Amino acid sequence: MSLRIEKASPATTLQDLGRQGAQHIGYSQSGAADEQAFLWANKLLGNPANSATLEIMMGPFVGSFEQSALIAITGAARHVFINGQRRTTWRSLKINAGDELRIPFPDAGVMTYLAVAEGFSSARNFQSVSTVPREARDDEKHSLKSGDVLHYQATNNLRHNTKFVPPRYIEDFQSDLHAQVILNPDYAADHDILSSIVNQPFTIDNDSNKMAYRLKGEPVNDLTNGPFFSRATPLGTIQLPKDGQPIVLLKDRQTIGGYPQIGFLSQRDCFRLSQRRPGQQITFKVADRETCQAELIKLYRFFNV
Amino acid sequence: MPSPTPPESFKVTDYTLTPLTENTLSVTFEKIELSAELAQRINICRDHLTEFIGPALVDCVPAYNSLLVYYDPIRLNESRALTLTAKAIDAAFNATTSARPAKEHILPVCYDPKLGWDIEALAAQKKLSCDELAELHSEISYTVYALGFMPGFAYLGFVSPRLAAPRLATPRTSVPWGAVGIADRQTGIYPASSPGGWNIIGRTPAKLLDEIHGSSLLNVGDTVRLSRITLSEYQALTNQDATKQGATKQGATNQHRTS
Repeated sequence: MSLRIEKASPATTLQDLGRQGAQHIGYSQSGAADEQAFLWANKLLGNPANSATLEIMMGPFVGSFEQSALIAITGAARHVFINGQRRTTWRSLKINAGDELRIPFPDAGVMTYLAVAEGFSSARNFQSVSTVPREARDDEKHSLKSGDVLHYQATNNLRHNTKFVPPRYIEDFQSDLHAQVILNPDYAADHDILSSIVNQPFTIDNDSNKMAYRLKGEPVNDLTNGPFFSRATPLGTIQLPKDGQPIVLLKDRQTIGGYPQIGFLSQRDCFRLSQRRPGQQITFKVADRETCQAELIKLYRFFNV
Repeated sequence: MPSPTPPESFKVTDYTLTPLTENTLSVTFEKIELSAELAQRINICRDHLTEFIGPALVDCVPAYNSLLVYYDPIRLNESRALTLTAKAIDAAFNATTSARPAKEHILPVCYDPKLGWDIEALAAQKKLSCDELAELHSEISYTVYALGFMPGFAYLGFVSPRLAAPRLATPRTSVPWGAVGIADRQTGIYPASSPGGWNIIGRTPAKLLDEIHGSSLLNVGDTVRLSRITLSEYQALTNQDATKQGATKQGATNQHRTS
């Protein structure tokens, strides 16, 4: 069973929840940038939570299904076209053999997820299908493109009861983001940094991507002296380079870094941040780790991760 | 500030272990001096953790004097993760356990200016001949302190203070695979072509990354010695004219291209 790609945006890749056991030798953890949207796409189809889906950055995307399929689309795109007919997203959809799917450039948000019943088939590295374009060799393709074919399992049950995601779970990606920050214990007593971080909105800068989001605002002063030994960088690390403009590390980040790590964006807010575009604003509020942890565990339990 | 302790007289007060995010624990060995032995013990700690935590361990990333433990918070709660990590550290640093002998690598490096694009400028700046620079660089046994920046890129320490040099003000958009560089007092080798800001002083034909199996030749705690080779030896080992465009893919024969 196959999906033939006719048109794909420059960063269209298969993703799941990311790799395991690879960061210690420098491979990025990767995985779906917006895990909440990714997990919904799989849940709508009754897929195992970690099933491979297509992550489409911006768009447009055009593909044709050679056989029938059950699919689900979540994330940035709020409507798609099947054979020219407009359908809303954040729901499951039945596809017939030969149908053409067109996902337009979204009005807001960044990442759209296309899931198929039982997931797309793919080779795995480090227990994951995720690919990181900048890690590809010169002779490897960096992301999926026109002419590529993705495979999935045949759907035996052609009867389909549409499943919808309740609207309260669908975030408005145009809204400003109020994000929780877990402070680095080493900086928790530094009131200057604290007040600089929470008392101003930051604007997302142009050079932001799945590796890291660069923020622009009044410089955050760090009085500690470098150089620092490089250390591992968890998801959500807020780095502070010398220019005082924070950088938030996301899914395709490098595994270690030498800048001060003043705090960590909660993971749920990392997912939300990855759906914001340059020019949008983010403000931080301090949260305790236990609360953020409880929220993440609740999310993962809901989706059976 | 108290002087750093050597690893063999390690005490439990010499490190901090703290939860950092929803699913990570951070270990920092602040009070212990950086050395090959510390790097090896951190790596042993990592081995113990892999055994104690099992599949709930997502990643365990060592770097210099620290270790970050990524765990699965659904399958392992934070409190148990902390207990197991403390146990792994204790086992790795137990005085009766000797650090396992480090894996020692000997990598051939050619320091010819045709491959070491910055060696002449750096030598002039340091008031050395290229030959003296190459000697100073290759006579040290380096320790692998961290892997990162790109798959298989090892940070080796430490070069002679006479060779220390900051990163280039403007990084190159492309540095060839096998390029050997200096940044501050670290030296490193690019496993694949990449943008890079290190001072390139030579090139190795050695393959640092097995991309098929996803494994790195070098690991934290290993030691690396560099053995000087000539340009013609380099060319014989890589079976190509390396002065045209430089080597691209890992050891693959490159048909002549017009530059």
